[in-house]
Amino acid sequence: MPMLFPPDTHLPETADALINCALSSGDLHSAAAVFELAEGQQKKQLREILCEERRDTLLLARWEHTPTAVLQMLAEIDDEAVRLRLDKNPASRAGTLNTIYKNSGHDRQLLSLLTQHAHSSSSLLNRLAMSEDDIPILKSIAAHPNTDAATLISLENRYHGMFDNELAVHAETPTELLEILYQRGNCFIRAAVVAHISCPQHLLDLAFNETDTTILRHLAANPRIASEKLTILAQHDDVSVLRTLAGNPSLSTELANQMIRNSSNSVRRVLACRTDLTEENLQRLVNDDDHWVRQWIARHPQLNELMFNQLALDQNDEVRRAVARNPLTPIDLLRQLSEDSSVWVRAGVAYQKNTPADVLSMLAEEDDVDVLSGVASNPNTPQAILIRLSGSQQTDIRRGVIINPQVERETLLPLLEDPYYLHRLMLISNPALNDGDRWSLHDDPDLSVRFMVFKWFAQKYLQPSLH
Amino acid sequence: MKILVAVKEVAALDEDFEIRDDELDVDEDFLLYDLNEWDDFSLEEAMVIKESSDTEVEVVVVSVGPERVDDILRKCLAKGADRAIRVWDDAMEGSDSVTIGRVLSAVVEKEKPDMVFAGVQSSDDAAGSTGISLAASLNWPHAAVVAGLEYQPGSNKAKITRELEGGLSQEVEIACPSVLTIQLGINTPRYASLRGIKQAAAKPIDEVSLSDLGLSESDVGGDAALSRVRRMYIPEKGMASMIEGTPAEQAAKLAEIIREFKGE
Repeated sequence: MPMLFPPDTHLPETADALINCALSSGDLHSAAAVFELAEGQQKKQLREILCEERRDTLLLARWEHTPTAVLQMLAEIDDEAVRLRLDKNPASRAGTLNTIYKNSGHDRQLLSLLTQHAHSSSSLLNRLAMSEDDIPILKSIAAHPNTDAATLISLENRYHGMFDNELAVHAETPTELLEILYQRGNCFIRAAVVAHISCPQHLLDLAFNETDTTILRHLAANPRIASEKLTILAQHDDVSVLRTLAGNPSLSTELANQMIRNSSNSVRRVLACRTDLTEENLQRLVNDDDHWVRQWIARHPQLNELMFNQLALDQNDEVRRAVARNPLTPIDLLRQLSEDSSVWVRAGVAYQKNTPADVLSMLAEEDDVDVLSGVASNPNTPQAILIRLSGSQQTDIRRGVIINPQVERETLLPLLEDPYYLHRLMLISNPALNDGDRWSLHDDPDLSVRFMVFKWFAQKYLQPSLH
Repeated sequence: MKILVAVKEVAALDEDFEIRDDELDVDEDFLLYDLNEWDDFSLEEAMVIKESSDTEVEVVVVSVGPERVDDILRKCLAKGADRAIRVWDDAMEGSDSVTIGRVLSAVVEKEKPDMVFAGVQSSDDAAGSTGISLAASLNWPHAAVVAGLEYQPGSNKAKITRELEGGLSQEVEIACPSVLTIQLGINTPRYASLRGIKQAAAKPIDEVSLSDLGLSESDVGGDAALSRVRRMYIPEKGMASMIEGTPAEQAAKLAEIIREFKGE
């Protein structure tokens, strides 16, 4: 890589100095990072860097990290390939998409992409709904979460019954339209209406008399269903209905505890996540034959000591690991699990936030990458061990040190030269480092690291309160 | 002892791109260039031999291409290669893999390495023939799709494991010097250290012309090639069948398709 910056480039103390540094380097990604910060002549010069080569413009138009202001500027360029990439770029915001629409020349591909873009505004979607008659495009509009109620009603009025699938699940569909959909829809449409947040109570009452299991399943999940009706649904013989019922937060404690004897593993797995179970039923689930039930119960916040002890001796190592990850597991049990025969369980202890320093020090003597990654990221790990782990050959272990919230600056400094670019990139926003440390990466060989350094400093000047 | 590693700068595509007006290639504006993935493994294999050897081993990387190819050669230098050679002449435009193999064989005759490594294939052209063409041009023993290698520098034979179809492996003893085309997964390529990258930026790259290799313009390029691209195009795609309905209906239909597929 040719040298972009003179060796004596100092930490820029002002926004102006930062922009000048990016300008003098001519580096595409540094220029993109500070574009929003610049004004007047500096902005014009940065634009020249960003748009000098078409291949660079195309690259920025598709890059998901390209700043909003750069994407907006690129949208003004008269290049169909650039517009297509911006239209596909998840970082493009509503303003950029509006500009693409304005310049689209009714290109069907661009319009179709606009109706699928997460940031398309409700006003743009409304405009498209009013002006288009292409059914796939209108279907995308009907399915788009930003489409408002007025647009949905207008689509229904123009294309009666054409978009029932989309309207039945759309959060903005008004109650009166849901009623129409329920009356004319098949069982799947009726099921979607029953699950809708705006479904009127009388439709829920009506649905209770249905026999279709898809509708009853959606009904059983609805927390607005009256308790006595949930009791009746609990007598149903379809497992999928019972499974969704078991997860309903409105299900009475009494009914939940009655369902604990259900023969279906999937029903008991859902019940194992509930916090309103009696101690007797918790114990029943601790003894369950299905190891997935025992895994869920091993994470439960209401286990007593005996239950913890029993699960810590479970034959299935996933269950023992779940005990190791439970934040309420007693320390003595964590000590016991730190000597478990399964490395997967010991790794669980290494990641546990309550594991004491002496246990972590012992685990740090292991050579398994999962265990050592857990030790490296654990806030209780002594700094001397973090220093040793920061020199590991394994990238996962070094990354654990970088994300450790208690890591000190001196431990991180050697990692500024980590061979893996992503680690250097992660360090830029690490609060343990100072601006001088961050700036040392401004001439990094990796373009995304350089970009993040300049972006970090640009944000510092744009939003000083956040830094 | 010397190992020569043939590397290639490959072009990667995004999902949207444009074909050139002459319909022979993709518009260069849409291409992203990088070191061929297979060649990263070849270089690593050479580096592993160098670093585990008691005797001095020189690793030399060679590539055929214009000036921009220096970027991938510097990447190889940053990872530890001792020297880099780039061969180019505008007359080489349009060369096919057999012609490139001939050019590389001239480099081998000049450098006189004890082993030559190349990637099994390049990710852009995927012909899988350059390494084998090179061996044919040299009349050296060769082995393709090498997934394991036991070789002591200076030895006159190596034991290799070749990857075959159907999950089979084949152990082969091969006389050295030879040309091996290296398969992905034979090792774990390293990341270049920052120091390595900075040092590589200052290292010279040996630029070699056709005449340096005793070749002439008539030996290379489109006229000397045994194959040529007639047209590059995007074939018509078949239509996927979209499953319509609410999420529950789509799930039910998908379950029905799976049951039907399983013959239930």
